[in-house]
Amino acid sequence: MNTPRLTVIGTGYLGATHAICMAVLGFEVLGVDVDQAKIDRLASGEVPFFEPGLPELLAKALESGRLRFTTSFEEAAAFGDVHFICVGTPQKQGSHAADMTYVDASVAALAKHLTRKALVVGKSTVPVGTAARLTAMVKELAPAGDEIELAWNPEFLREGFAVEDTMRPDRLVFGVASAWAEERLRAAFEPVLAQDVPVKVTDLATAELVKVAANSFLATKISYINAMAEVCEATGADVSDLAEALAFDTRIGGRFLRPGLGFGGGCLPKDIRAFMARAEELGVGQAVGFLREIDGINQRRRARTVDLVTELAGGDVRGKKIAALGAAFKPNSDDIRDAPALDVASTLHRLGAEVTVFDPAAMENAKRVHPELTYGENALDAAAGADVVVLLTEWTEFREIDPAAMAAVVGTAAIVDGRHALEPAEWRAAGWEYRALGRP
Amino acid sequence: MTIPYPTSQSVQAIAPVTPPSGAPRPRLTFLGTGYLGATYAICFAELGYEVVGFDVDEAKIAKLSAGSVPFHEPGLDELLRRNLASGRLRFTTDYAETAEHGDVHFICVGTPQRADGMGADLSYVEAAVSGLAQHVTRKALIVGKSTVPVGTAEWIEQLVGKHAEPDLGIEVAWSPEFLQEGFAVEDVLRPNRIVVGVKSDWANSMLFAAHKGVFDLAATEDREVPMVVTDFATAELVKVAANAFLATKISFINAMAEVCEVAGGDVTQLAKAIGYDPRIGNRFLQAGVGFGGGCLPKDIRAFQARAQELGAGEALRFLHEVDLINLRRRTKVLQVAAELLDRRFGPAGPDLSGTKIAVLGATFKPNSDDVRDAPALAVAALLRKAGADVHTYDPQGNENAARALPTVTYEDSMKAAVQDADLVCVLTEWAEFRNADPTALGEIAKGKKVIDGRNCLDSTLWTNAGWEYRGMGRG
Repeated sequence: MNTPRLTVIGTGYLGATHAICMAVLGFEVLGVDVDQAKIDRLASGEVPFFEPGLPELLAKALESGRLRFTTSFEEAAAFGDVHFICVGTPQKQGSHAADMTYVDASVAALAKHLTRKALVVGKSTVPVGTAARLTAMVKELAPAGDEIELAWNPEFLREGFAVEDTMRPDRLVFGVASAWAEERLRAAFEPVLAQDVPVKVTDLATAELVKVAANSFLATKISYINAMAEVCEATGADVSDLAEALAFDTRIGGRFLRPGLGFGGGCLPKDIRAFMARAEELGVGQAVGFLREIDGINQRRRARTVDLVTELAGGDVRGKKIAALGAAFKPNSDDIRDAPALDVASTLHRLGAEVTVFDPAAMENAKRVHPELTYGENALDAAAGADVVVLLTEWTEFREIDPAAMAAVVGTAAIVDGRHALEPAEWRAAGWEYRALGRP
Repeated sequence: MTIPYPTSQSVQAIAPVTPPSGAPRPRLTFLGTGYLGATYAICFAELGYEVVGFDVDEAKIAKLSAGSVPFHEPGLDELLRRNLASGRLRFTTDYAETAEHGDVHFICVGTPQRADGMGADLSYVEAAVSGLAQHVTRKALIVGKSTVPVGTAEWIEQLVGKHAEPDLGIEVAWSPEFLQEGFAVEDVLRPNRIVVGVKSDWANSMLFAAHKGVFDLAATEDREVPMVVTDFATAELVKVAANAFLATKISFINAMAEVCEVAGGDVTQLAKAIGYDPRIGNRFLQAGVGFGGGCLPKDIRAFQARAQELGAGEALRFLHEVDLINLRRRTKVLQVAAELLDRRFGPAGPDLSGTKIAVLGATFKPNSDDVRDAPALAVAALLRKAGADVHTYDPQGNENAARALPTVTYEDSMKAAVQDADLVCVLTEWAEFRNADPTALGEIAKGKKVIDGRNCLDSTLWTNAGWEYRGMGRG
């Protein structure tokens, strides 16, 4: 069959990356969003978020003429053979469940204009059962009716590595209800599949579960090692040695086994909560009850970090100068959604500390949400005169800080390494009092 | 999240020491000749050490001395006989002889779950350490290998202080074991790491010397065995933390199976899709009837109990969920059995009287004869209790199973168990069951209904042969 024309609905982090990469891979792509300002920025070659490598690819894609943007669903429906739904599914206000408003609205808006056979592919992270519900909705709303099929193709992007993860993923998952849908998806990923990327073809429900199960596992692995850190704190053991010893076991593996301040961001926390909510609805809440503990362990790490800073500040942070290194929820990202770093910084501020934050990429986002905090020009500037320095996001530039140079500018050489990112011996040798979570 | 860990201590940096006995390489003893101790004693003799295995159980010692391994472990029998013949390995029930022989004494006795709670029973450890310490007459190193609650090494130091001459300078260290039943010989000879918890350079050097055979073997095979040197508490935690992770991983995928069962997904496909992610990995990601055996269940319970004592109980509450998910899988098999046999599942469970059920598997995992807390046996007991006529077959575990659960019938072959059965349950993933021919079995069974409790059968093959197939967590 012919090469399908693609539309990507929703041009946030996921959608913009997908649209740009697909155009670079040679497809005709139309990006759709209701936000005119966002569309204008993208169309003029500006990526509205931080992602290494993406601005260059956007320029390339626009230049090729294969990538365009629109706010018109009618245009999208007329253009596309395969439509990717990439809108957000945030946590619902006042509940753990996922907010499906954007998914439902965009699918409905598109469906109304679908007059010929087409495939609608969900990429967003959604509660299991959504695909079945949307299938019924699309068939009812679309003029082409039963000609329209739905499939699910969960995304596995890691912020900071999104281009790589789109162009050369570990695997592709196709949740389909027919051989035709599978064929269309294979055609829509032909250049990716040509690199021998494994593809798992399965049913819609399993495909929906894959993403949330993977995120739940990663959250569990992070909280597992952080639970070990809690036990280490109670026994005088060293969670860093423990993690190293565990990582040699190939059944465990060292990835995501780094103790520290825990997970955050726009996915893991909301995904595990939405999963719990959905499992409750399905009557198997007990199956994922452990995720409540995983969430609890994660939240306690933030409190523990505040405690360590308080300890180093002599038991009270009021009036103390604290340098907070990091604001993004992880390095190589400007994303501050549910960022542990900012949570710790703002808690310290609430407790009366004078907090100065520096982050290599997330300053603007952080200032918008936390205008009450002070922001430094760079790490050394933030640390000037500080009573305690606390490392909250493991950016490479923080890991490479010269402890002697920083000791020269601080008030007191005391540091809390919230990410196990520094070499304790090196910092202690330079006269620092070094503390980390789960280490004596 | 991909920051490399600092490289572990280079093993070459450790200074050589002369063993207190004056022998060129330390003489070793292993106290407790159960699964762990016997395997280590035999394998370290194979590595060239002079080894004494000690146990209070005369029958066990007599058996081992006569060249017979009292449990099933591939390859171990031959190594035992070879090393007895070489004279490097002997067994005794005499503490004095053990104390006289050893420079490094490894404590390998069991630490079962206490009868009165979730904690670990340390009475065997206490008996072994005090029995030994009373007879030691020169400097020595006592090394704990058993899985114990964190803090035990400190307690052993105090025990030694109480029972041994203080001026002998006996030291204590910790070096957890990481044996997998069925692969134990390989795991001792070619470990993927050695962890030691030590308080002195002397203890570190002695432990290095006591493992030099492992490092030398690795060197000849162009491998490296990393050595993690740490404090007592961390070394004690490594084993129980590793087991807690593995239990969590198994229960994680079984929780996904529970969700798949109601959402119409297929957990085997789910596991495959997430297992491609190298941060997750596909090892220990098979949904089924859950974990059992002498380690995982008791270890995660003892870990919770110890964390409670230390005031960190909150940290490990997720392990309680892990335990519950695991136990629910056993009940799930009973539920599916009732469904397949058209029996109502009432408040007191189903009534399966008048049905004949073949249970294939009794051990907690294949390539083992260990039936301790085996899910297969637990399910057989549940089916029996519900009134079914249960016929069990296990390639290695029949004898142990008959002792633990005498109320079901044991058969000598898979065919004999399946003969006239209304339902077949595969509960341990032995190769013999995985490779069974569904057509042949279909001819002798009465009802062609199968529950694949380990998701280890080819469902298409069985369905095509006319079987009603049910896996775990498969829609």
